[in-house]
Amino acid sequence: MLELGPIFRSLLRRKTIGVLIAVQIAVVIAILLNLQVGVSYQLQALNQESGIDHQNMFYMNVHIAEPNLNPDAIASIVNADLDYIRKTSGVIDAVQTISVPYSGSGWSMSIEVDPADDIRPTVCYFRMIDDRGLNALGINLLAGRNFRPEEVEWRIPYGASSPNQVLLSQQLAEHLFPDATLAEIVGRQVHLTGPMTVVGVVATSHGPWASIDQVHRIAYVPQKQAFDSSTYVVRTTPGKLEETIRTLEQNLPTIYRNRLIRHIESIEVAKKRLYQGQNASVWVFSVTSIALLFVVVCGMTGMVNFAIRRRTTHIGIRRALGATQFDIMRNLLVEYALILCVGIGIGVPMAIGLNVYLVTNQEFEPLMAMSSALIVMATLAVCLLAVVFPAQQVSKLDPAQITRSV
Amino acid sequence: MLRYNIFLAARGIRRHPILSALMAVAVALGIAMFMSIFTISQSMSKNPLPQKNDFLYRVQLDAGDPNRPGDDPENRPHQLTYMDALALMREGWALRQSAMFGISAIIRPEGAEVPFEVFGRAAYSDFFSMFDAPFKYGGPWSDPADENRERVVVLAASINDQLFGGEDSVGEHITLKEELFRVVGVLEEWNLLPRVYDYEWSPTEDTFIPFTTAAEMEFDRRGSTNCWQSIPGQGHQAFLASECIWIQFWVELSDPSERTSYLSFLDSYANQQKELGRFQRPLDNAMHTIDEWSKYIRAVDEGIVVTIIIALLFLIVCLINSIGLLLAKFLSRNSELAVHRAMGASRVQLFTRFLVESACIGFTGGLLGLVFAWLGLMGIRVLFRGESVVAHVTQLDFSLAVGTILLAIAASLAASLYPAWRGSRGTPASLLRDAK
Repeated sequence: MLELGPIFRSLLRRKTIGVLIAVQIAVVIAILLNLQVGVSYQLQALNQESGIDHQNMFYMNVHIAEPNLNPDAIASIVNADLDYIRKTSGVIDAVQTISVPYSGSGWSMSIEVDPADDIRPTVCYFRMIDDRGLNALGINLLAGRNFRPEEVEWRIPYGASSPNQVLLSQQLAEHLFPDATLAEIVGRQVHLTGPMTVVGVVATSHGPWASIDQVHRIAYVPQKQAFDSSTYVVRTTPGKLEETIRTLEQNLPTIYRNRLIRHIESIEVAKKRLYQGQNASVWVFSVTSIALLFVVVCGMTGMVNFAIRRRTTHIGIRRALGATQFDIMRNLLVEYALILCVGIGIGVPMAIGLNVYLVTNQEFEPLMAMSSALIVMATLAVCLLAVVFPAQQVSKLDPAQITRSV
Repeated sequence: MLRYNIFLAARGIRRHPILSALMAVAVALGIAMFMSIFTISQSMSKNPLPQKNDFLYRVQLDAGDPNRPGDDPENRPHQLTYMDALALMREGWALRQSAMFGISAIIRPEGAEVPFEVFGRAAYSDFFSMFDAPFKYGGPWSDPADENRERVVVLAASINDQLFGGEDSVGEHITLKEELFRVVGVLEEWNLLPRVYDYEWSPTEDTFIPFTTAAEMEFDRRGSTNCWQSIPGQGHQAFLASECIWIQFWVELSDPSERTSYLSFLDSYANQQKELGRFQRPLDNAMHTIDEWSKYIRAVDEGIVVTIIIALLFLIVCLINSIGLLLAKFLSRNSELAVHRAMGASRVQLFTRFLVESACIGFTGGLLGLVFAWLGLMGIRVLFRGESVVAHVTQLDFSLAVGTILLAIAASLAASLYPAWRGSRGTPASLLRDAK
């Protein structure tokens, strides 16, 4: 039906173009499959849940210029700042903290259930918040309770203070206590800067950095910081972000003069900046894939066109002997599909080989069967389209004209 | 003869404008992709101080947590504790040596209400000659300034421009952390990218002050601090006396051959400390040159290797493509070839002519590739808005441009060898018979 025999024999007679097309497709498949893995891995990182209302939040870092100010004086400035910010119109709530989502700076710490065991401690992000912290960050409590105002203490520079209560993010809690329900985790002991009791489990929020597996592992302790450098996170009502930033930038120095606002940035901007690399990779990989397909389709059109035109006489004779336009088209398409399949047959093992190399040497991700199959099919389809046009042209030729000179 | 060949090549290209254009675009895309990735990876892995590579060494002492692995595969901390840094400064016999850390300082210009923040580096006076920092005015502070914790500062060109209008400010004073610092030197424009001494992809700092002064005045630290043991006691002094790891340490040896003896000095220091109950891990100290260090800490993003491999494969696809297109081109020109052969042109002449024609296409492809490469690099800059380093590593310079065009021509020539051989093979009689 498909006349594979004659097609195959005619392929063997004119090998060069067929070999070139097959090799080309093989390399293309090897590249595309691996690019796809790269893109999907970066997208996975890019699309990690933020957990917070990042469009309506910003953070600011303020620095007291007066050296060696005593902790009590700093504490009263921080309290005055927080009071002022929380009263500003458009502000839902604010908190002084560290490890601000997406900010690229923060503290990471080791946390473990039992310091005596041999299990490697888990690394988590460390946030100090007061009793209004969860509201300011917009993170829900999933189990247990929030910090109480009287539990919040001041942390001073180089002070080795360790509070008794801790809140864990859901992901951190589940990682530390894989067999317990969230409600059961409340009340358990963990070891962070010292022994602490888990008083509650809170919903997801993104950590300060873009690492992929621990980005949501966060521990919260009830502390405010009497440091000369303070970071406030502010959540505003929708649409009030820019206005609030401007107001606070202007008015905060009036509360305490001798300081500077080091950095002020919306969480949205911070998020874009933090994931710039991943975003760039997605673009670079996608543009590369498209350019590659473009080159291949153009090249194939050129080669196929040439190869088919050389056989004009042959095709004319077949047409004269009764083959329909459809027959010719079908024959040519089957012929090139065969070539492409040979290419894919070489390309898939090449792709796997390249992928194994990249996974072992370059921290790359393994291929995924489903999406790889889709890409192979799509490439095959696009390449066949490159055959359709020249094949159609030649099958339309008038057999009488072609065969005249024979 | 060459002119005639080029004339024929132009005719050949005009005869198959689409095939020629396709090939030029394919070559251009392949080359552009390869060259832009190559530029980025090259400038990222370039050592900005090649002349110092055999002399400067980053020192690692294994004072880490005995129970837990450290920051790298060999589990050795990258930095030193304050105690060890001071001990090495005291006992070390290298030609030059400097412990250092990044600082952030509040600077208050004369008469100004609002202070601003500058980034700085706390180091010893040897730092400047170790890293070839070029002085415009003055020079480094003296060794006694290190010992006496003097309030002295070396300014970078940019901050000197900002504060003193670029004038010679040696002897002037600036206020850092509310204390007066005397300017002893001003640097020329200094672009050490990457900043090898702490391996950050950021410009060199604006102010440089003595390490001892910065430690005494408790300047804010920038960079990572790893405290694997809780700090015994309260306050800054307790922090300095702790096992916290936060100081970078470099030495300059007068001869690379001293490396082994300096390493054994480090080992003997570590053994001394072991007797005191510190350094509880197996003896494992190290020294790395700048090149070794950049590999050791994997300073060049691993993603770039993947991208280079892909760019190379892309180039291969483009070349296979070109082979096919050239074959199509040359073999469909039998009638013309037949006439030339019949009139006495030799196979070698035909072969040469094909090569010239491909070289012309390659040249065009190279030019086009330059445009594509430029677009690609601009695109990468747009994706990394505001990162000054990206602007630095995406510069398309002259040698790169020439390289791009040469690579394009070489690639097209390589791709044309087989098609040119096939094209020039036939005998005049068979070509004439086939020709229609």
